[in-house]
Amino acid sequence: MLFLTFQLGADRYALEAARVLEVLAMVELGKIVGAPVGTAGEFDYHGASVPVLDLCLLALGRPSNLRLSTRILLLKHESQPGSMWPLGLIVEHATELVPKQLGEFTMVGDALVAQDPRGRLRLLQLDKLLTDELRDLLSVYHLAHSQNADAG
Amino acid sequence: MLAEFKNRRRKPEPAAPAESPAAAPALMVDPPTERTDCWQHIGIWGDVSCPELQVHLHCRNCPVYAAAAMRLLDSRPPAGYRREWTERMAELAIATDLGTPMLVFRIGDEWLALDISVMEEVGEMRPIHTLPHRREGVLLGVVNVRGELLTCVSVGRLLGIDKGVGTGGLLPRAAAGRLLVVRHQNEHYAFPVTEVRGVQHLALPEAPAEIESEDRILRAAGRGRVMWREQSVCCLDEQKLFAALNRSLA
Repeated sequence: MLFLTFQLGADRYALEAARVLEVLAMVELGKIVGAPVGTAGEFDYHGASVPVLDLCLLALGRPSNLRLSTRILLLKHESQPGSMWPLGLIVEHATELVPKQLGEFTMVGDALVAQDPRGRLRLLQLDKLLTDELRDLLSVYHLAHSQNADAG
Repeated sequence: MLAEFKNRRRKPEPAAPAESPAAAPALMVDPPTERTDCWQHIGIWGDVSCPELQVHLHCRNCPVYAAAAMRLLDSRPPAGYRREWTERMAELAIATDLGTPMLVFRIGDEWLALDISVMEEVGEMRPIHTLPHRREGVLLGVVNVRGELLTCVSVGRLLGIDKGVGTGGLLPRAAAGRLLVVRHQNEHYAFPVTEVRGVQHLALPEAPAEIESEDRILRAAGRGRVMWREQSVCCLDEQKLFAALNRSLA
């Protein structure tokens, strides 16, 4: 099982690569007016509007630094029960994949942590970071798209 | 950027190869002030005295070198980088919708394409064993594909392609010649082609081809003609092709 690793503040985090549809370079994001904290904006992904969250903004309260290694992970997100809509997540230092087993992550306090030659690797539990306002926002995108599809 | 990075010659730092890789991709808000380019001094591009080379054999395999590469990604994106990616992300939808993936190949001087759903294998040319009293027509003989004897046919003869390189009796023996293995429902055939150009996305015409067309190949088993790299490619209809093969072998 492969995990994509990235940096959040001083800690290294991992995310199951199977959840990632695509790793994208940083693009210019359109502002979403009145969006809840943690939202970075939206962008046009092959004709579909995809909302983008900034992990640094969500977890640390500061926007991600603009670097070549700062990338948008396009994730599978279950915005409506039983149906998927992509969600962009900006992370810093998304440069590596590591092979690991899910069983190697053990509960330490509130986090799932695995040992790695480079130090502790935490498993990102995105669902814990999503507030109700953010969930509402993500489902709005899904709804808007399915209505457009029906109209077309 | 790499060239600039490499050309920065510095005094050899004895501590450099022993640097722990854990320190490398730590959070770096500013470009690293201290750059190690040990590979230029004690590594492969230097005097090869680095003890780590015993383990890694080449600097490419060394975590210090890999960490330096990671640091290149810590730089700010060049001007226009985000703009370009934004446009590319928005555009690609049109490009990917264009065309059906088809295997493009050549028999003689004719470019043909066949749906990849019927393609089983593109293999090297191999000996075709002729069958007694069947020296004419579409049937060429049998070929051995991984222990399985397959009927080998000449699609060139079937479609009436003029004798060019590798049609009719002249089978392709040149290096570019390939044997295509196709399967449609329960019919399994192999046929030699002159050249294969891989899977290409071709925009097939919506309307079926005119039956009364002058085009012999199109009439026999074609679906339509498309332009691909300034070549007219005849897209074959797999239903028609297999039906025609069946008829001619019966």
